[in-house]
Amino acid sequence: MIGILLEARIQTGRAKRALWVMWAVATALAVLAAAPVVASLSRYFGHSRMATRLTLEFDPAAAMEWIRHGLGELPVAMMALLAGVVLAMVAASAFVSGGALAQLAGRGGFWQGGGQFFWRFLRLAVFAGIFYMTAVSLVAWAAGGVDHWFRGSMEEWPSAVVKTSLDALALLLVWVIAVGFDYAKVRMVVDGTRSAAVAGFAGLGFVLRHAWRTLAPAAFIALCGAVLFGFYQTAYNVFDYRGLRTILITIAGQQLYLVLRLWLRLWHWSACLRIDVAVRRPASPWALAEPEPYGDNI
Amino acid sequence: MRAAAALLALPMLAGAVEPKPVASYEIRAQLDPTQRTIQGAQTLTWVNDSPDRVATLQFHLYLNAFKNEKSTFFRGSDGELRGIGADQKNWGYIDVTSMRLAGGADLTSRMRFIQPDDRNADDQTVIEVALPAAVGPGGLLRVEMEFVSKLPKVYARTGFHGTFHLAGQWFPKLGVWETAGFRGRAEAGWNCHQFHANSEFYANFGNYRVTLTVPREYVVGATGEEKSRVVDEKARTATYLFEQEMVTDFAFTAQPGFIRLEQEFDPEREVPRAERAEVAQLLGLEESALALPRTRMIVLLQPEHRGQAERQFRALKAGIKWYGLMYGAYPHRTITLVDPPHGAEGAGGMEYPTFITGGTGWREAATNFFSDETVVHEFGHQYFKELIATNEFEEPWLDEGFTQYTTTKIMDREYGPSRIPFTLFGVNLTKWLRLPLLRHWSMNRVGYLGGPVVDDLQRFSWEYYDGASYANNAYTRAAVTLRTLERVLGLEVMARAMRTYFERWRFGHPSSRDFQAVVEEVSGRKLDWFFDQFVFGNRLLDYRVGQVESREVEEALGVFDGVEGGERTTRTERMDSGRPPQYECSVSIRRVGDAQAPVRVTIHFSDGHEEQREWDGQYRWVRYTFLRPARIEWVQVDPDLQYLLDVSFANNSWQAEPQTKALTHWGGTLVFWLQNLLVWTGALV
Repeated sequence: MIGILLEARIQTGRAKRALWVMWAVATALAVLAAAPVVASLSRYFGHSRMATRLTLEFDPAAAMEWIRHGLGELPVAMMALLAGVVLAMVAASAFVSGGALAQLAGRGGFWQGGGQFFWRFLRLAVFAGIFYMTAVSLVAWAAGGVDHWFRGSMEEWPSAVVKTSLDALALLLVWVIAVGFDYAKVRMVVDGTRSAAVAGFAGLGFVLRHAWRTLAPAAFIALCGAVLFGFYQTAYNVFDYRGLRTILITIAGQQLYLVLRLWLRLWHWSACLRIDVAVRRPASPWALAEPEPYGDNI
Repeated sequence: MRAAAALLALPMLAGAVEPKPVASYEIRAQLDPTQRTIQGAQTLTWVNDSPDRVATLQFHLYLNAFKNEKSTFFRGSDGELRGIGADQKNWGYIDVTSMRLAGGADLTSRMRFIQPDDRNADDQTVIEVALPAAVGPGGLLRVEMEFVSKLPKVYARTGFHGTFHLAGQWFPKLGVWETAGFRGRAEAGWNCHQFHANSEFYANFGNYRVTLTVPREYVVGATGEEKSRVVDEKARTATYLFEQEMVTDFAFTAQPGFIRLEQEFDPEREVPRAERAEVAQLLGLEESALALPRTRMIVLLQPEHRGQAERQFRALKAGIKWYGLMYGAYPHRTITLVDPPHGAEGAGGMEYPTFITGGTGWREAATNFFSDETVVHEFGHQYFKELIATNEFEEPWLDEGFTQYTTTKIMDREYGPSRIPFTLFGVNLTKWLRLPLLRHWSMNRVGYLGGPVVDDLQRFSWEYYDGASYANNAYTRAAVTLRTLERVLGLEVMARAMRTYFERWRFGHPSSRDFQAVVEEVSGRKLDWFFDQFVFGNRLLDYRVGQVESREVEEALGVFDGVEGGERTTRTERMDSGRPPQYECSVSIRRVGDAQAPVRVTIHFSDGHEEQREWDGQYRWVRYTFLRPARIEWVQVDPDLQYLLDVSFANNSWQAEPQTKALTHWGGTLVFWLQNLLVWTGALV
């Protein structure tokens, strides 16, 4: 496993374009969604001395003031805009992940791969959504059952323990489904599978049959993400945000953190490709080719 | 008797209410936990302390609010209170099976249900009894009654859950006879309202002597002091005797599993000299006047909350100390705090004389002070409502708002701000994640700003637009209003006014105007402008900085007649005079809201010079102009932040330099959060 992870890490260098496109898409959509809010904040606080105090300490009353007297009709528009942005991200992710996996698998360039796998990955996303909703609904139903079972109890801890466990189970299920559908994407890229259902079930089945060999590397990369967040938050706590320079340094640091997070994503996909080749039996007829000098080429 | 003597020995302020029992009860009750009933017999001793002849009696039968869906309470609440719903299988009610004058006429057949508030013929929370003969002024009446109370599954303060029982408003309770002029009343009559969804209670002071019989394994807590406990081994019961003088109510709880803990509030230990000195100076009193007595604190805790015992005692001590220092010593010997079990949260957060309910959770986070604040708040009701027995039906802000105002000051002083709790695998990450501080005063303002603005602050509790309006006006808006009054008058004056109000009106039933009269007397100011707008009205307060201009004065162009018949000159170009520039500066301040209040304005110039102006706020705007060698740098309306009721602090100020740093910080943070949200979304698909 360590060897696969190390090889996969090196291989992420093939998908630099994917990394920067992912970052650019997330940033553009975030800026689009943030713009009306920042415009509203600018109108309300732009020349107010109160803003200086708020940069030092968040005041929930100031936030409520802005919501009640500064937002106007914005919330309704914001909800629509946010929903649109999220949908756009889903579509963009379908394209970007197709391009990234194509590059990592040596199946073509970023733009070609993105276009080639876009509709398949979009269908796969819809199929994954059904799995997520089913998993969350099952857990919610179980939680309702817990409430009913313990309705006469005079102690909180038994139901609290069970419900915490159910929350953890929900998170675990969502994570396993997410990893399973990453392997489904691998199937689509490597095998050329066109059916979302076939690829989805194949990916999930693969993860469940080889749980240790698929989930352990994913967990390791997720742990790296948690450590990265730890470093980020600790560094973030150092600054006091009084000066424009510290604010700009923080923004730069936040973007660096985001790029590294996206790189971890690429590392995960690269590992999935390698594990699929190494573990699947019979082996895929389209086993991962030796690295070709694609680099950032189309 | 000793307690009564102690109460009478309290320092009496000129004009203070003389404590005297009006409606006293001697009750014998037996709790049947299997049937969830209380069999009761009581003797009510009522003194007609008015100049009127009283021909009827009116009683509250509060438990009938839970009898069926047609009650006024159920209709008004949709069977829900504070987010907890009624159990459709476990209703509650109270039946008065007999009533007679002691040694006299049987009154049972003379009872009839009345509905003085909403004419809902199905509501049975008030009965009227015609007396065979009117009771004259000063007359004494003894009424003997037998009743059966059926407790509902608890969702609205009173009831049962499992083996836990909390009996509040469980016995027939006399209304209050008010003579003409009392609390502004036009005609004499009974003040005995139906039980509404948003109302609480109102009763006379009296002495209570209550005998409670429960299964012997049950642990009991109640109003007053436990005088005796007798176990009947044969019947397997225990009979408790509780007594308390000069209170308006009696409640009790019983559960086999309570952990009963006791500590003593010792002022020598709990009140640092420096704090007493600080409050003494604020109030203009000698430190000896702020001496506090010892108080026995009893906590009835659920076994799974055992680890939070010290938190509960700490909160009680904070309440006893600060309410005592600020307003006056807690006059009773005991205070009992009940921790309802899981599933009985409806019984929590409630006050009865010398007996309060709190409520906490399993594994309550150390940075979440909600349960601590609940204890301090409910203890605070011992002052506002139990000792100053205002009419919660008609003037809910007088107890809830006053308690909220005081409790928030105590929480900020003793506990500091809360933080949203966040723990991972038992590690508290709240500070590391820089989750925001939630200062208690700020949270009051959040409630005020976020609540509906459709009602006057002071209204009959059931006449607010809805439950949210009642909650906002009675609690948070009232607290912000009192804090604004404090800022207007100054901390010292307000503190002295509050203490005078407490000392004058404890054991009494003041109205809002009585409070206003005390504040005006102590401050020496007429405050109709404040109370009429913000308490008895619904005026919105909002000042804002309007136009701000600083225009450099330049030589005018054109044709100018000569001075004193001199030659006419024409100027077509502006020349540099070589003098330092002068600026015509103007500032407009606007009154956007309807409320009119005098306000101070500070105008700061770029050369450091400041101008102060006082505006009466009567017209909709005012403009100030200046001719100065510097531009206006910033303007601040209400620089001392007096008017916490102002709905927008942001528009109270203006500065020339745009807030680039703040907006960059906020914009960058918002974009970062959205980027992360989108990346997570992408990862899932």
